[in-house]
Amino acid sequence: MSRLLALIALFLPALALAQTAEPKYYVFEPSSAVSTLGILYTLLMMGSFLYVGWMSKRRVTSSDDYFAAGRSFGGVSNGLAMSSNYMSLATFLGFTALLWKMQYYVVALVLSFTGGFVLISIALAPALRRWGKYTSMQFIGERFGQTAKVVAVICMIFLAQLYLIGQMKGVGNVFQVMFHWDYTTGLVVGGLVVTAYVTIGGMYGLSYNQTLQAIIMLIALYVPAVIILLKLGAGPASFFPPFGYGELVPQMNEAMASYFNPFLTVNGTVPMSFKFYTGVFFSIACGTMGLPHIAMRYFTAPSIRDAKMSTLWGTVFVGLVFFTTFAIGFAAKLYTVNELNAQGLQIQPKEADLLIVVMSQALTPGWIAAMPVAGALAAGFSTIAGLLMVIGTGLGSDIYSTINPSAADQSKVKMGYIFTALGGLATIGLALNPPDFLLTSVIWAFVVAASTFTPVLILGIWWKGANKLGAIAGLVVGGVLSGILFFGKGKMFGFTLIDAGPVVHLVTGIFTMSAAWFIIVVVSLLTGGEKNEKILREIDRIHGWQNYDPKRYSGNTFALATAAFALVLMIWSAMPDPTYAKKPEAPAATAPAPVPAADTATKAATEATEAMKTATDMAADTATKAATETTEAVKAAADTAAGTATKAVTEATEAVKAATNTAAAPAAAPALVAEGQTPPAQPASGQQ
Amino acid sequence: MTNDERMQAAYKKQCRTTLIAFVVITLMTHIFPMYFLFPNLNKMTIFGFPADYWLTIVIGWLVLIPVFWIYIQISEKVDQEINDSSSGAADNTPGGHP
Repeated sequence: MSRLLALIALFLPALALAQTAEPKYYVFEPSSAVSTLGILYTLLMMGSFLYVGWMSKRRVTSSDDYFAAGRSFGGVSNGLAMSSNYMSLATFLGFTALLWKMQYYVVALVLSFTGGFVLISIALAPALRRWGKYTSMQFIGERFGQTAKVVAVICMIFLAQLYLIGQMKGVGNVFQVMFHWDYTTGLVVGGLVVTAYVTIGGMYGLSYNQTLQAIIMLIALYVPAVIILLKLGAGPASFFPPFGYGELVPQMNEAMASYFNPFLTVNGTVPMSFKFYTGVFFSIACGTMGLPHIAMRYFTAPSIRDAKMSTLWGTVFVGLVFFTTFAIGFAAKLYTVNELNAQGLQIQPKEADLLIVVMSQALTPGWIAAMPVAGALAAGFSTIAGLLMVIGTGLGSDIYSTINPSAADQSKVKMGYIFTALGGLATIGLALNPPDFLLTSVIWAFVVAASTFTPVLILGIWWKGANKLGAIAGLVVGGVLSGILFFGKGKMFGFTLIDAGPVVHLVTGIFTMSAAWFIIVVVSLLTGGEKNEKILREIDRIHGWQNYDPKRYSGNTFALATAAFALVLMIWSAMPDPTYAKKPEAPAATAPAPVPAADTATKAATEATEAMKTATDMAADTATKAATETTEAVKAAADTAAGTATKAVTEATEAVKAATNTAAAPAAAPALVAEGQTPPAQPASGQQ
Repeated sequence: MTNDERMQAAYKKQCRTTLIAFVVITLMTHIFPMYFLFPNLNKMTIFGFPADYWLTIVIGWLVLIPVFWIYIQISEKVDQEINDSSSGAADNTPGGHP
């Protein structure tokens, strides 16, 4: 509270200069053409998905057909299916919004997604495919025993639900905003359609539909992107949107200097550190490797080579969609700064999610502007379907066959139908009243996957010494630690274990994955390693060997070296990041604001007022949640205000330095920021 | 070269190929150390883009595709060597085949 008062005191002079007018927010309203055509496209699309699901049912005669599409799905079609399975509603709409807010940092996130996608096919997929089952959980079960499988299935269901609720909510929101349907109606209709076609068609229906959905997504993104870039003046390069906006870069640099700065994020107010980028690898790339619904697509390929080639095609399509989204995100930021901010309008976070539609409606004809709506829903459906399938397989095949080992093939298929349908219905039910932590739930899913499945799978495949107790300990420690640290924002039982600034969620991934890895190695070694020769022989077989040699993949040096490295990483991740080290309150509160910075300071003060007002409104709306959340909101406002203030003062310092032509080294920006965070001297003039 | 030596060579090749590919792909898609080592890349431009931004996307996507294709070819060859050298070979245990 005292910090907030200090901030208010600091801003008083600037507040006096600032205009006190109410901020105006841009409110998106779909045109009748976009709304009508959007409904038409959506209905046609949903009809097609159901038809494909129904037609696929004819091909399902065994559990191999239902759970793995008869192992007949390879090459380009599986590549397309992989890419749409991976890219969700959050990718299609969320990346644009993230770019709008986070700028360059999203590039690191997206490249890490792509890297993880490829790393699975190098380190895990060939062995898992040779094992010949349907899911990662089955591998864990046969490699480490039934208890480990049950723990893995519990982790999977939790991860899948975190993912699913967000996607389902997104589908409901799209129906609500675009077509003015009631949220519940949109959620139930969309949820039932996707549940129906996955349940009916199994992996065949899912695979054909995911292929179709990938094509829809590519078209729905590419066509509007080209027109938007052309309209903004990007020239002929617009026809290849991933690299089509080079000519507009100078405009962006003028409008928002921090957009292409890799050392700043959150509208240029938060400095990036090496640890943040490292956290991206451990949370996103390693998380991707552990996601069961991603690994599942490799089981549908006829051969190892087909699985790898599918990944290659998938990388092409994933990149096309990701980097076309970048182009639209760039255009949206430019449009926001140059057009909307110029009209005195600001974008609210909920509108940022629709920027792709906003841009399309503003710059393309109605029949094209409605395409992204269909594309977004296709992206949502494909991911929901993939996750429902993994739930159906996990319960219908993995758990049911554990309870009833002598179950007939047809009864496993029947259980697959039942559990896929139940999974869909349960998710619809949960999404009717979604929890508050939805915005970060998908990232949390990645962190948990990285801390549970990834170490167990890598060590289970590449180290014969890993045993049942080590795997169970790793799964439990990784899962529990990531849960506690994520929700506690780096704190555990009141003790700050990870103190690494605003993207602490990603940094916790370094700690939790390393901890799980370390525990698996240490517990396995202490308990004598794997002794079951049948399992040891299987490990040779899944690497392609026709004979058995106990010496292969059994070196403890590799395991010990990686465990030592994991320990170092744990310590490093727990150490305070110097970029965010707390600093004493600076004397800058009394520093005079030089004339060139007056406008900026005024703007900063206005933004600070708005931020605090928003926080106050939020606190009022959620009065029932009482003190804790209110404090959080005020703290957020204080952080925002402080970041802006520091930026303003930094700009002022820069201006003075330039005026006096001083040869001195740049002075550190005054440490006035809440949490002691001091952005480097880098002006950012863009508004949001 | 005896069959045992062929198997040993194939085993080493498989571990080495996988490890190198893993590290190379990881670095290509996480080239952030470059930002810290060469901060001035941000001031240069390539096709209108800041050089570090352009290089990040090109290396992490367009260059990744042929590199991954090369890995597929190499790994297929290694798999073939593993299969050829081990098919019909006795288990390397005191009792041979169980």
